Amino acid sequence: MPARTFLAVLEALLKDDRAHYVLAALTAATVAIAALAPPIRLLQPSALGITKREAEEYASAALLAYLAVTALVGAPGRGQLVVKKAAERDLLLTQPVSVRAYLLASSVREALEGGASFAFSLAFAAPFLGPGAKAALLLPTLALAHLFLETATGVLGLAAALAGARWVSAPLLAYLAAGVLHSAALRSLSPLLTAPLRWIARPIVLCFTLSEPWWQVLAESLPLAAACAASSAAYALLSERFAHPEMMKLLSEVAAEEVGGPELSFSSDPRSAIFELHLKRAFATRRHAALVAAATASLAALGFALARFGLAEAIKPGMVLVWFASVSVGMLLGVAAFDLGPLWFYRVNCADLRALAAAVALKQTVYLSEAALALSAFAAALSGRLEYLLFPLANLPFACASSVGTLAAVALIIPRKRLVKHTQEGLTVPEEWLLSAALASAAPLLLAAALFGSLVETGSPWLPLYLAASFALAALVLFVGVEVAAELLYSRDVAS
Amino acid sequence: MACGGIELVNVSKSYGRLRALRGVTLTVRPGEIYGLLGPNGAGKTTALKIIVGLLRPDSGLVRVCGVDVVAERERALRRVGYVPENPVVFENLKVIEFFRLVASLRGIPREVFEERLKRYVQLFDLEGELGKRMGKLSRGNAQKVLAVAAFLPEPDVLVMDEPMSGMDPEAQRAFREEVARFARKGAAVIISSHQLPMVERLCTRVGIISGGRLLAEGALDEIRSRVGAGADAALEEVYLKLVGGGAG
Repeated sequence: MPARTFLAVLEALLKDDRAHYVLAALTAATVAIAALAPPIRLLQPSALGITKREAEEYASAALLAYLAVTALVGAPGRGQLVVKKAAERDLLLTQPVSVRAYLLASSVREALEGGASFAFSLAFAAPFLGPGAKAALLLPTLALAHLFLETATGVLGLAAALAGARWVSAPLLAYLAAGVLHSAALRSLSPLLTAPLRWIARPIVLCFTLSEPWWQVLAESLPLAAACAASSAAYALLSERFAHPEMMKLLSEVAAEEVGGPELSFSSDPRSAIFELHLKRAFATRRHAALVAAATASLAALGFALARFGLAEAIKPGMVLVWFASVSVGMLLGVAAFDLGPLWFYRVNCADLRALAAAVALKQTVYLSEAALALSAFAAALSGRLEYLLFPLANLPFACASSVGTLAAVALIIPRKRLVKHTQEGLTVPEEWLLSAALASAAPLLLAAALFGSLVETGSPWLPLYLAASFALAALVLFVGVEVAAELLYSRDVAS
Repeated sequence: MACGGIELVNVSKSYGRLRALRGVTLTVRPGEIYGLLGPNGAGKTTALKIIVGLLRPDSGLVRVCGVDVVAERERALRRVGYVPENPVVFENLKVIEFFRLVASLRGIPREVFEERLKRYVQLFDLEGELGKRMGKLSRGNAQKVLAVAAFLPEPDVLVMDEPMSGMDPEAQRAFREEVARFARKGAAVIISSHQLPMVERLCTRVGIISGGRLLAEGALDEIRSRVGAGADAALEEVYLKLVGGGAG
């Protein structure tokens, strides 16, 4: 594969995401923050209640879990690969670009975007965790780690596509099961789970610690770089088997095949039709109920297992819930963009946009609450405090504010851009950042989640009153937010 | 049927520094089929989107059935059917579900809906498509579905942006006949298209737009004489003379 083709495709993919600006800005910001900010040295791993070695073990087990889950969940059907955007498939079909060049460029794109975003968010923590010059190595280290994970999951995906998904998922599941059983026997994390990716986790952890010089961190990153080269080569080699771009399937097409739900019925009430479309079809399915039940049960089981390993003290359930609340809003953008893509249809057919805003906001609130329920099962199992199961209620104000905030943010970009045929191909990287910034308005409500954790931990008698207040606040936020979002949906221009 | 048709009076619209429409004035009277022609980027889609309230004009007046679209959009659009060009659709809805949604939003009684749907399914040969998801349709079938969705409420005004792209010849014929039927019943129809022979055959009046300005408007004979073309000159020749594409 000529390097020129690869670079041209990479450039096209980055520009299509408008990621080149973001990458440049993030790199400059990360280096500036990490290198210039004075080290405050407040939070050592020991201050978190864990040693550096334990931090490496947890991080490597988490990376392995990520790799395995991505490979298991994202494994395509036999003989097909998934393409993110229609434009990318068009590029493959119409230009002399090999599948190999596309796949490698796509992995590097993901690694650069993901690594830069993650490094940027971690860079704010760098002054608290370690001296500047070493923390500046975060960016290349994280980009390398991302690239390795991208290409390694790519190799597993190609293997699944070539041989059939079960030939990959069965050994992977068996290995994970052995690791979990061994951990249970040891009452600590098994080397089966921590050893395979420790050499990826180690340089990342070392970026945050004080005792190693920067050149040692750099040296520790070399095996990671070598592994990236090896996994990229394996990826390129396997991708040669996919000579035909026709084997590439659009992510949205795959998603559409998986959509079930009861068929939309005829309704003489326009509002009922909207609620049926956005709520009943989304939630009233056996598949959805099974997924929520499975996720809740799995996380509860994980909580029990971690408690048995004696990790309940190291992992603060309250902090887990706050972390969840802050990262979960990202998934809302996709849902809102998908639901509001055909806004032209609602507008031209005189739909009640208040009903539309309410239905989509409720849908998102329910999604967030289901995820909160699964996390609360984890926290309850880990800590042995059943009160944590009430977290979805405590999180309602944040969930409602995030939902209506997302709607308003999407309504604001609709005039400028033809909104998304499919979630995944709708927004460029800067737009995602812009919308995330708009959602920051809901951030103060994160305090509610944090306060809930402390009320549970202290066994406060104010908990019932607090939950009642949360519910009332959530209702108010939803009511006012839906009005504002509906007005924006009504009054703004529509590009799609 | 029959309402006041469509009126655009001195309508302008800009996207940032790009002036998409510059003081466009046009009228589509009840019973008229108006063909809006122009090169790519001329402002046709912008004009149609302004008529159906998807875009707000920077200045000027837009009336549908005598109702100001900006001030009373819902009242104005209650009698409008719209076929957009290459729109974002409900990818996961089956075609039959999409039609039910249209009927629900438009308040069409069930029996009337079923009767009309039966006729349109037959007319556009959509029997085999009803169970398919919208996202899985071919371009032509998607256009047929969008056209039927516009016809279903029996509107007084039809606004159609490249409605026949991708349609097979039988569907094109059915579409033309249906549009003509609507016009005979008094509907005002505006169609944007690059298919000049179709426009020549179907439309009673034509407007040619370029660079956001309406260059000429009227019955084909009037435009012919205005540009000094012969009485038997084809619309294509007249069009190219007006927009300056003589090479074509």
